Amino acid sequence: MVRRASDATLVRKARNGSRDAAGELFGRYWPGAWRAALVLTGRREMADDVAQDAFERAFAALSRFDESRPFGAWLHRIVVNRALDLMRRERRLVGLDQVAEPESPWRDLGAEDRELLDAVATLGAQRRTVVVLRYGLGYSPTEIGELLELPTGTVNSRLARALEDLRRIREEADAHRA
Amino acid sequence: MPTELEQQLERALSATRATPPESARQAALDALPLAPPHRRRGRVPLVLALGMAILLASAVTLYASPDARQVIGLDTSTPKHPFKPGPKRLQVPAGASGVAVLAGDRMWATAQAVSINGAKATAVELSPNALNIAVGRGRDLVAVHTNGSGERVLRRTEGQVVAISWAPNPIEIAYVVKDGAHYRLHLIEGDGDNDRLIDPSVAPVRPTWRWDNGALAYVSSNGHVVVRDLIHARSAVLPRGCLRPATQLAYAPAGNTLIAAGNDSVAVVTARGAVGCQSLATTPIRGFPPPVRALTWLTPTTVVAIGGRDVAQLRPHGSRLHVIRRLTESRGNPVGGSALPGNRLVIALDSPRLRMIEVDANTLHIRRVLLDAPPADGAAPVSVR
Repeated sequence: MVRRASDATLVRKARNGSRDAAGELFGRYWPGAWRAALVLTGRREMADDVAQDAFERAFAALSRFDESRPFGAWLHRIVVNRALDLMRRERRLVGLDQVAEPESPWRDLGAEDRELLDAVATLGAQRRTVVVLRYGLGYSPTEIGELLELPTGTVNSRLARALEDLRRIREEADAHRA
Repeated sequence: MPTELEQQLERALSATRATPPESARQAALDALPLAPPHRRRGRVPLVLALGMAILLASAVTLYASPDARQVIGLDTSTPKHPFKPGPKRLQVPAGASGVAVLAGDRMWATAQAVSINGAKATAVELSPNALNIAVGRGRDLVAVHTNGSGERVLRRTEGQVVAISWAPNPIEIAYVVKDGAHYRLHLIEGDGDNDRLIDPSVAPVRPTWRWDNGALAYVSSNGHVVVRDLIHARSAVLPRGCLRPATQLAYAPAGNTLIAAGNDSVAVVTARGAVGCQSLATTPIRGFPPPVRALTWLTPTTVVAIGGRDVAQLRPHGSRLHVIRRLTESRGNPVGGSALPGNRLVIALDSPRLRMIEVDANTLHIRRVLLDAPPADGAAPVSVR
């Protein structure tokens, strides 16, 4: 049985110039990072840019990475920051629905789940970010606080408000259908 | 207990099988900035390399020695490589998230989506990972969000904020504020909450945090190093020893080692006070006095002290300091500096304009000019993340 190398081992080898190690690290985290970028931005082409940019920054800063910390969390933090940065730079902070793709990027999902993720895409960037980190990537509120440099209380309040928004959007959609 | 909506969110976000396009994957993989691979060298090239290194070291030693240069007729105050005009906007060094410098009453800072160039300020410091820039501006302590979303006044203060130190955690900020003839040390949280006075009478010296956020070292108004244990809320005032008084402090990035500098010396600080002093810049060059301008950890075991025109690498061993390397900066007067990963330094030179340069820590060879700005007035504290 071939033993899977730890992230820390791969990081060490990549720092020393091992392309194989860098490629394996990339392979492990690229799909997840891209999906996180997609849910955060709601747009495929923007997810490409965000994920690529995040990987470039992460690998350029590999010498500063603290091996005692999880690589995935560190990378996700960069993805989140790049996504927020890019959206702000393009002045798409408010109303992502205005620039949303003509076709929902969640076309592989059932109608109910697709509707929910479309609703997530209409949340403000701050609330959308904590929703994706909490329910998409499985971070606890404390971990999200560490990732975003926010007090845990602020994370919890953003989550609560995001859930309120989503409930309201769903109720409005139900009422509209009725 | 997750609600039905939370369960549905978890299911929907994990169920999406959206896959990144192969073209994007390949483009990202091709763009990965990889470290150059190490090459094995044979014995003959190794011998040749050693010979070259000895020749080069002899040349560097000859050039780095002011006495030797005077003997062979070189003017130590003349830059060997006169600067061409450099960037007016502060550039971020390779591999860093952000950089900031205060020069006179102006600041320069660049991180992520924000670049501030020449704005009025009294203190500046980047947060860990450069997500925020803490700025002393007038009577305000301000946090500028580097994602471009604006800024927030954390505290309206009694007087000018003259020094800022962001905790590694990075929740808390220590700052020194001028209050009439005195300086006060405060702690505040990064969102502006829970401001509290720690010491009503300190020196205008940047405090330093222990790696675990459990202790803060600062300089009292009479020059003593004070270590404040933040877990047990008690302080230890240490004898000044050889420092007379302390003007710079730097906790090691791991462990308990605290290094302090006075005007012309550097010392390991222990519970017994400042011991094992290593004198720096004892021979002032052409009227430049020798205050130690910067103290920064190059590695977890090596500290760099910049004083006069000396850039010295020192290694604490117990309560002693060993000099590993001592170089002379010939292109100008160093007024600040900070370490970078990869054995590099960012040095601020007042020469006579303020120039920020990224250099190799072992040779001081310039890798890049980061800023070309009007001259600094005195020290130019540098913050790099």
